[in-house]
Amino acid sequence: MPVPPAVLQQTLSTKSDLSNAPLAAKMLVAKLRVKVTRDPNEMPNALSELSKFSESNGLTAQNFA
Amino acid sequence: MKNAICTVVETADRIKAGEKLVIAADEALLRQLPKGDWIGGTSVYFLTDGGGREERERLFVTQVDAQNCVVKHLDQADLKDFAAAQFKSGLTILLIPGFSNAHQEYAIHGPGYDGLFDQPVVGWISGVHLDDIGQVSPKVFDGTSGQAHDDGAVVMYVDAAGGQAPTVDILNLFHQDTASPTLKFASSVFSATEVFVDCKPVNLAQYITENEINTQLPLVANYSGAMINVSVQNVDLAQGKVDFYAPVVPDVEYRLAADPGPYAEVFASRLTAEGTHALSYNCILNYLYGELEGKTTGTFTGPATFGEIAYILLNQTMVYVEDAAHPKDKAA
Repeated sequence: MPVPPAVLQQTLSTKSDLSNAPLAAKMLVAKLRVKVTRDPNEMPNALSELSKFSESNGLTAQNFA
Repeated sequence: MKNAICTVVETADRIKAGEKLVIAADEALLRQLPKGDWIGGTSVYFLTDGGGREERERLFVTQVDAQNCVVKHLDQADLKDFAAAQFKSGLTILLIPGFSNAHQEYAIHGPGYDGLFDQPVVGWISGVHLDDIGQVSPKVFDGTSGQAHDDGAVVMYVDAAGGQAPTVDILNLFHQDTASPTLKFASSVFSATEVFVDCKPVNLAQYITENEINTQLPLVANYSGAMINVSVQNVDLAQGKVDFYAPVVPDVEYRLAADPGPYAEVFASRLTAEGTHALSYNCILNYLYGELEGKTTGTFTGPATFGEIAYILLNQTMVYVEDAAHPKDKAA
């Protein structure tokens, strides 16, 4: 089941640790958080990239809890 | 994945038998190997079952379990597109020569490469004996041509079709010291002059010197729960600059690392299961600062390298691949 966009947006908007996520997800989220902090207009692109990644890797909302 | 320390003859026999191998060894030994499905990098420091050791007579050989793989040398200019040639499901192993242009390129621009996070990417930066730094260049070898290279990268694309792709993780003894101020940098550089300490601009070399900061401990960034180090190579107070072994990333919050305590003991206690089947790489700085020669670090064995790759370039970290066929390989 795809991760709801609201969960992904919340993930990118905070600094919380992703203790249930694989290493690649942690690194990608860290990269996207910096991008979004620098330029909030990047949020749609960041969300799209994270959504694509989570879908192709079979991640669930629990991975982003 | 299966690790072994082999002689040149033993390694050559395995290559001729069609095994797919990742090999770390002294350059002179790698040059004696026949062509085949292997990639190699120069390193003479190994972490073995019997402890850390310097080794110039034998090779550290890791067998990769796969029906199919593709080995290539990529020029620095082609490195950015390396993920485009990956198998649909698989693992990519990258070896890059230390101090090369490709090393710099991957360190600074690698995190932005297309497809970087699409499937597990691991590898290491090749090195030389510490006494030979500046005199001998680290090399990587493309086994299919037998060619040695001191720039670019060799890559082994491993096909995991029909099986489960392995997973990559890191073991980092360091975490952020909560009492440390935050350190931020304005650009992605290997050498920094200015740093923002709790948002106030200061000269980093001066700051380190005046505060008597132990530079054997890295700067640590928290990447959504993954602790990522940047290790200090040199503090030049006269020039006012600090050199790192990996670039700092702009706008990322670093803190000084907390001292982990006696390295070998802490390392061993963090390994919760045997790692005989794991592909693993440990940093030469851990080897040196942890004084690991002769000390065992559990059964996760592998070369001590001049930098580790788990998607991005890392410092002072152990990278390991958890073999899907042996899921009990696990570090805490």
